[in-house]
Amino acid sequence: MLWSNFKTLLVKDIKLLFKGGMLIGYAFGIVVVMCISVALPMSKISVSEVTVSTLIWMVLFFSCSEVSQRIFLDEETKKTADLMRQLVPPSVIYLSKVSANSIFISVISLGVSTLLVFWFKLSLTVLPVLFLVMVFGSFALGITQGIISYLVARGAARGSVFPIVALPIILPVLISLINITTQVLESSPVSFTLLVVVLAQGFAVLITGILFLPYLEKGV
Amino acid sequence: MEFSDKEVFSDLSVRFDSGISVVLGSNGSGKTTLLRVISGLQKQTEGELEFVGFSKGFETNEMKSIFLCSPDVSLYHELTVVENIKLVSNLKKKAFPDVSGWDIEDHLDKKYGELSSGYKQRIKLIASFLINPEVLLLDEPEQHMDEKGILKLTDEIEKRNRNGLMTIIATNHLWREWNVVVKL
Repeated sequence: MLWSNFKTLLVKDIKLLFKGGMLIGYAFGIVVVMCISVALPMSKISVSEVTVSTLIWMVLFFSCSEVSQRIFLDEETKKTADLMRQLVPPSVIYLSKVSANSIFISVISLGVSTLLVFWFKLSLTVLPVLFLVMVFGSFALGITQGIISYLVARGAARGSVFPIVALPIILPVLISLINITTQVLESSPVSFTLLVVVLAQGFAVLITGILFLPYLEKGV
Repeated sequence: MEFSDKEVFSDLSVRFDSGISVVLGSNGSGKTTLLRVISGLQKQTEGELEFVGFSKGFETNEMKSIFLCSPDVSLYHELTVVENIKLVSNLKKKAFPDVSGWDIEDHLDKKYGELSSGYKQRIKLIASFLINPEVLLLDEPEQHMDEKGILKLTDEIEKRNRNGLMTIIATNHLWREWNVVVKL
């Protein structure tokens, strides 16, 4: 029952991402990363791998923030949140939105990593590791931002406060992801321990969200 | 009971029995707040709410057999009417309902957000009757509806009544000879 409700909501959330113009945030992210990816090698300016990794993850962070807060806040402002609250448990609502956001940012990060390999003339052998880092990183980012968006939306706070609230909580994840991506771009040995730490934080936030949200809803 | 730190009503003791009950009151008297409290979407500042005799597992604010249809509850503006109804029917494991009589056949493929207020209200009521909860809370259900729509609405409410289900209607004018349980 919960699984089928989750699938139904996930399809709905993905449809809304396409229909609600929420892809603008993602599109903006792609354009910025593409411009950077093209401009840097052409400019012949020496840019370190750590700068590139930081730029990529900051852009992914802000585009993920944009969509994440909108899919949660829109439900409140368009009065659909109370419909969903009456039909499905809050943990299912949270999971479907987080999954929709994570799937989208993963697809974008895969595109970004392909561009990186192409423009930085990296060996194709780094591609699987880069894909792994980008996909796992995107899920950790999506999950962590999801819970903050849920809280911001539930507190009827302004959406503009979201990145300010989110950044300190996501910073450890971002720093870890920047470090791993730098290692991949430098073709140096990748610290999978850091990747496990990122995944562990994502997983911990996910479980906390599932356990905590029903109590948050009861305290309406 | 308070709303936005303003006391809406106090010393209210009311009992709703199965069947159709009407909560009558003028604008701002607290009808919507009362229904939101019963539905579990809002918590009362003081007092208790007790549900007696419902099916096992019934508890307010849980995945419950209670549903509030009010102007503060909307369907998805970006989805079509069919997509919205299918969403509700899939979540409640129900078949797509018979919508004849609601006069919406020509609007099924339109986006919900593009419909007039009267049609939006019809779609919300179709979804509410599709959910078919043990307790259906209708907040000003006649709002924006024409005579034909109101006739269909009363038919559906009477049908629920015959099936032994409870319907609580909040309204600011008496439009049927139903039992007024409380006047706020």
